[in-house]
Amino acid sequence: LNDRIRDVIRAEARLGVDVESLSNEADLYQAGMTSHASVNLMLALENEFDVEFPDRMLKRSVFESVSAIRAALDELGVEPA
Amino acid sequence: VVDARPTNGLFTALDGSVARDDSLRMPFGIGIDLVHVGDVEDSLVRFGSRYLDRVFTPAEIRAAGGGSNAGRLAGCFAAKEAALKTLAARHTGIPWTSIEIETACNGEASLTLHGAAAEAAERAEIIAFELSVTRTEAYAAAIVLTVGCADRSLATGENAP
Repeated sequence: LNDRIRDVIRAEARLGVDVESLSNEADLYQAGMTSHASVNLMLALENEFDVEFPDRMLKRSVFESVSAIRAALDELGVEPA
Repeated sequence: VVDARPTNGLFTALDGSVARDDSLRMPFGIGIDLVHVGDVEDSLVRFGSRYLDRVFTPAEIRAAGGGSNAGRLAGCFAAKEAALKTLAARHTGIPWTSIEIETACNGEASLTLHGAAAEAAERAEIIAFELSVTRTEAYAAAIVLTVGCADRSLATGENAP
């Protein structure tokens, strides 16, 4: 699951560094993700995992790292492939 | 001469050390954001109405020609993000649509908070917002200034013994 999350981050977050160089806990905003890129990340994650992030999850901390996104997807019932 | 004192209550004491006096804190907050118009155009092409509906209110979409005016949408988004920064609510779910941006005939922008954003502002004891938006063909930027309770320390009881 983390690999699929990283693939979406690579395509959407427009980081200034390679996502592979970041730990699961690394802050994506610190790594260069803009607030607008986080919208694309959210929409692309919804496409990839066939989920919809509810309003209560639309907060900065949900999209700030691989592990935070993983936790949110777990909460939404996404099973590891 | 204008005394450009910081608003966070910090001051330099006579011995050079930095101290803090909460009674000097002024109840202001500020947020800023910059958006590339090309990024908005890209999102419109890739995600279409899903992007529009998750980020913008029906009135904002109408004011942006149904989504055809990416520059205006970029200004709206910058304003929403600038406002979010003033709410200091990193761990609170606040949909972008709960912050609504309106531009008057004279070009003056204002914002209205609904639902989760209004609740966050209340928790932060913000009583007024001022918004300024500017844009070029390529970028839109916005600044939001907030005014809080006149005596925050009294309101929150944070100086209580």
